[in-house]
Amino acid sequence: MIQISIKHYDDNNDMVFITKDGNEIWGTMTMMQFEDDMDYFGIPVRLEEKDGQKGYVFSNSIDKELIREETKRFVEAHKLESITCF
Amino acid sequence: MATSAEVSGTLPGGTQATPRNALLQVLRNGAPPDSTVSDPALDSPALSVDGKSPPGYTEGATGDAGEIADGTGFTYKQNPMDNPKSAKDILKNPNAVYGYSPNPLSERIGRFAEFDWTDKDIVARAREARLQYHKDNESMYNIVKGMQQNGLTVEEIARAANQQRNVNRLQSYIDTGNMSGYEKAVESNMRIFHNKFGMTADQAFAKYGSWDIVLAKAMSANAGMDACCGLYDDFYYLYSMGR
Repeated sequence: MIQISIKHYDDNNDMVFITKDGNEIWGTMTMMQFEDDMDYFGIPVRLEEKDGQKGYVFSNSIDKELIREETKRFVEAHKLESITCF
Repeated sequence: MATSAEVSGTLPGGTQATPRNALLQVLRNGAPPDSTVSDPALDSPALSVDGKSPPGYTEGATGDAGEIADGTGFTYKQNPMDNPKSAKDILKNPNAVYGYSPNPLSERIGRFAEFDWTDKDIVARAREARLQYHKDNESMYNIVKGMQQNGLTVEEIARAANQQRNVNRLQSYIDTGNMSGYEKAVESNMRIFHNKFGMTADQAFAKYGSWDIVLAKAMSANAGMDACCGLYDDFYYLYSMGR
């Protein structure tokens, strides 16, 4: 099961983490050009690591729920629940 | 509640740009060659990425067509090193499964350099992701191919591709019944682009500076990623769009 969580990154940014059955799936997300997709829609994110976990950093001026919904949309549109992720 | 019609725009010729109508338009104008995506790798067993150090990279190839990965015998008909877009993102790696690995210095795909591109199971996973990505974008690829075959200009194609990408995004919210997400996306579009569908083609042109780049951004095909996954020849036609 894929889970999306958003945590504090620094004073200006938050970070969204995506896991499937407890494992990070940034490899699949980025291989499917998640950052390019978000950028196209005016929601820039960048892959970063914090405390040993990789996730996507975004400005905390962006609505967290928009990030959550867009991430969920991407996961569903690319059927990430159905394919092998890494 | 929003409906499918509400996220539709208008394609050249006045047709409403739902994915179905866009496809019908292509079919009326002549269907593009079959590009159904399938691959045995989709049936490959899943193994974990183990974080091994990438094996010895070599500097880029010299531009010969039909490059052969020495360790695997895999051959591309089209040389990824002839394409400036992929050449800056990848390195020739004779031991890699498909002869190329991400360049650690690449802004776009350098983060994948930590993976072992000589490991068939790891590369199979990456390939599976790329194939799924291309399959999900197939309807847009077909629209663009159909317009190209019918002799439309790059600007006309770029405008349609931009519109289709925006429609696909909003349509995916509707298809999954996620109307709160749909409303969030529209609200974001209005705030950022002053347009409920997203970035307009004219805004994209102002941002990127040419219709070629607008088309390439809308298509969003990463040639370097495909080259590392053995898919460069399969999707070569995409890389020439917007060049």
